[in-house]
Amino acid sequence: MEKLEVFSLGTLDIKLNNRSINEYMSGKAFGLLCYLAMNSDKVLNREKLVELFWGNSDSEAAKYNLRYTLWTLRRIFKNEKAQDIIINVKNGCKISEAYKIITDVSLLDNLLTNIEKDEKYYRNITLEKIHSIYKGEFLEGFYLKNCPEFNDWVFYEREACQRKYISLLSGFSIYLKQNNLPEKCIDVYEEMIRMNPLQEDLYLNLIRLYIQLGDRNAALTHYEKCCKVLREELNIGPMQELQKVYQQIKNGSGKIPNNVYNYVKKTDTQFSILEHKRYQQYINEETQKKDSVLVASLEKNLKEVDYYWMSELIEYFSLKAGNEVWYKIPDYCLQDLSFINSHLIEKADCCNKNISTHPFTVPDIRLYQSMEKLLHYFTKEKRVIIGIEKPEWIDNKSFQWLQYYIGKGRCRNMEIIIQESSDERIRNLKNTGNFRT
Amino acid sequence: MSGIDLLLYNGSIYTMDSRNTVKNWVIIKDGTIVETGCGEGYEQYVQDAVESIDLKGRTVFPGFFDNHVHLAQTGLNLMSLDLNHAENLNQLFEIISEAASKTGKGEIIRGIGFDEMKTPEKRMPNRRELDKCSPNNPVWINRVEYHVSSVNTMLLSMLNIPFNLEGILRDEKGLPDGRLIGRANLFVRKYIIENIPNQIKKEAINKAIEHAICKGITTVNSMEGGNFFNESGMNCILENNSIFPIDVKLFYQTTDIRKAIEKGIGCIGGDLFLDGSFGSRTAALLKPYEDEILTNGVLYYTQEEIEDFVLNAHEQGLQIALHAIGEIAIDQALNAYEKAQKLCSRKDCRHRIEHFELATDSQIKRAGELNIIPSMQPAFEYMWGGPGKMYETRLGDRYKRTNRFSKLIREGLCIAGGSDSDVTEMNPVLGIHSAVNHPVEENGTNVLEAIKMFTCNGAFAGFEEDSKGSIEKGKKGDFAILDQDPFKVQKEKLKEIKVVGTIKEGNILLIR
Repeated sequence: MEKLEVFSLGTLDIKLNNRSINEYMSGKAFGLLCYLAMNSDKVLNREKLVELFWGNSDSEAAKYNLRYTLWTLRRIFKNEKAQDIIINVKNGCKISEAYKIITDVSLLDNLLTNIEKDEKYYRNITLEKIHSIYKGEFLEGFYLKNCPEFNDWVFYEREACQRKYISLLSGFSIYLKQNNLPEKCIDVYEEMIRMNPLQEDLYLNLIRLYIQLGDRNAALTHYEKCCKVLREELNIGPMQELQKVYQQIKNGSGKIPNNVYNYVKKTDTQFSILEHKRYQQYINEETQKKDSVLVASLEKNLKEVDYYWMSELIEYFSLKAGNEVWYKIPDYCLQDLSFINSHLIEKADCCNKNISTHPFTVPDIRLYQSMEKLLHYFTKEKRVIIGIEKPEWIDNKSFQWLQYYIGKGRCRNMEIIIQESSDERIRNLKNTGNFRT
Repeated sequence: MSGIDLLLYNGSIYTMDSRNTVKNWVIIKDGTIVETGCGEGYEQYVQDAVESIDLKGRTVFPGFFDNHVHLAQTGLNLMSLDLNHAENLNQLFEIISEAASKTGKGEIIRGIGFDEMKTPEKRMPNRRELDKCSPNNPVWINRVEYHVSSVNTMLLSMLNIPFNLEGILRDEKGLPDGRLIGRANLFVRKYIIENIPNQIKKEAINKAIEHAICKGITTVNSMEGGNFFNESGMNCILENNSIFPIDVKLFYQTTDIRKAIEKGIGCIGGDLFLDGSFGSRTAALLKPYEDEILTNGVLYYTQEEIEDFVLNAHEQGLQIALHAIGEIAIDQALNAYEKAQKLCSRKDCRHRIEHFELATDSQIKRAGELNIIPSMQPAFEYMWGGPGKMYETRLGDRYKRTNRFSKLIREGLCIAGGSDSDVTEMNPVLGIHSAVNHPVEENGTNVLEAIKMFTCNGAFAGFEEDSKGSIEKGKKGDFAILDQDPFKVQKEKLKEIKVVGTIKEGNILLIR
């Protein structure tokens, strides 16, 4: 079976059997294929298609244009040695059943259907997963001249997708809140605010969450941000309820539950090397717990790539840690680490930090210090467990850092669990003496 | 004397110094006035002067100040399609079609000044209508007071507007119909202004400055930034301020004190709207509007908010300007200034109240005691003041109490004159005419006081009285040359006086 993927959330991108075919298509062919794919379960009336794409030209010319465009589409598929894409039926046409059609819009719909069926489905969702589907507005920046009907259809779909996205986020935020995952919930609120920054009630929720987490500073920062946006955009002050909450925080009477301070358990860094079975058992146990962040091991053996493992670690943290922590990390630290992970340039940008985007190099020792600093900030927020299943896959530079880090043994509130391995470097590590087995 | 750059002679040079002396000639060296005199005394310098201008009896004043301008908006308007003359929708479409045929593919068409209330249709166009006259160019039409926009489909598609934004009007199919009000209008304005390339913005601002020069202006106070006027115009002025041919003093319309300090702007506020305007019935009045008894106008800040802001800015040593038109808003401003001064006494801070239109007797007195500078726009009276005009419609009998220049001057206030361009055009001569020919006679002032508003008072308002505002030795060689003597023409004809020359620090920017 042939596979046709149409990604229309964000910039339009069409893939035939995993290969992009965008470059071969004119604007109308692009739009037409997208429209056909999104309606692949239906026979589409030719008149309707003519109206959509050539509504402004006279009917004979329009019919010719439709035939011509359908033919160019067919040709593209033929050149790719794929089966015929379009089936003609009386007065209409449709996408051939030889094709498995995947659209991001239907993926979004599936998500929503699954959730509607069972709210617990949210368990399988992350903000990143949602973003991997909803990359942007429906057909962002795509406009066909002289096609009022088609453009209206785009507006209609764009709005519908936006609504679906917002309802998905808002449902997700409620789920996260109810299941006591305030940090993840914060990320979702921030995304919703990014879309439409004038929603005071979202700020209110966000501020309340920060209070719940005991992060008074973040609560105040967001209050100020909200005031600023309202003043700058609408020349109004914040609503009364928000002012009340602000007064509470200011006077220190904001209800900050005691247990919040306790959720960070202060323990020294522990390093362990465990044999296979115990390692798995330990990691499984930790996975069940909610009060710590588990950073699992590498998935690929890229030992030859310098700093690969460190870079992956940073990646993990950027996925798991709340946005707030990035604000606290010093600029120079992000600057140094962006040397091995360029995502940090974006992170820094998000936090209004100014770091250079020019390529540069950083001496190892400085890099190692900055990495240590990064972990220091993360472990302030939550206990961190790093599990290393295949230490033999770690590249040499990263291993050196691990040695440096373990040797110092200074970081609190974290644990590094390594699975036993025949790797010679592990044996050397053991000799540093900071280990329990 | 050697190195004389410019000699002006044979004219009536009103120095606007403290004794209102009149001279006949003036010498400028390195941008500074080095000598003035009467009669023939200039003759010895003719030989040395690089340039000499025989004024042939014409009149010279210190270069004019316009103390309240929105330069970026003014420039943008000069670069936009003027739709003010469209009398019906068909005419509007013709103007846009013609513009579209002359505009490069894909370039945006910005239309301003359209007033649908003047048309029989009494509505803004929708996107389908605009699509017909401009299929290949994005179109944006802003209503005359900027609060409503119409866009065509192409632009609507580019905007990527969040659909849950308030103010997107819809057609019978439930789709956006291209007309945007409220927040959606602010959204599109921001998008348009931010997407104007910097080069074009610079060009726009330069055009506005050229206009100012034609009107004898050598210093403008430009109110920029904030929720309506946008940051990017201000940043453009900041970047280019050193190369503009005249002085542009910025007021940053924000309550973000730290940001103003970071940008090195010492004047905060400007049109920081405590209330709105008479026209839109948003100026905050003590008693309801005459033509809408259900409203007293709008206050955009609570007293506490404005006091906090004023106190902080005052403590930071900034000069503050607040927009207040109705009595209630003026009270808010005065209270805030009073409190700040009480908690943190600062000498000679010259805080301002912009417009100050409907100030009561006691408010005028308080403003005097606090040494507040009222920054006012006499041309508002020319446009809307007096019996039968907009002020009377909105305010009833209260139109007799707006912009009481004579009263303010008697109370010893130093009024800084301005145009609020683009609300009225930058034109100090019209401002002087309007202050003298106030439609309510007793509120008008004499010619000398009116000219002060646009010269020495402006200098004082900007802490520049040592270098500008009068024609005296040691001050900058800034001049406006007029074809007639305002002290000698009939007062009703003041506005017919033409600016025939503008000189900034000895450089001739305009001579006719």
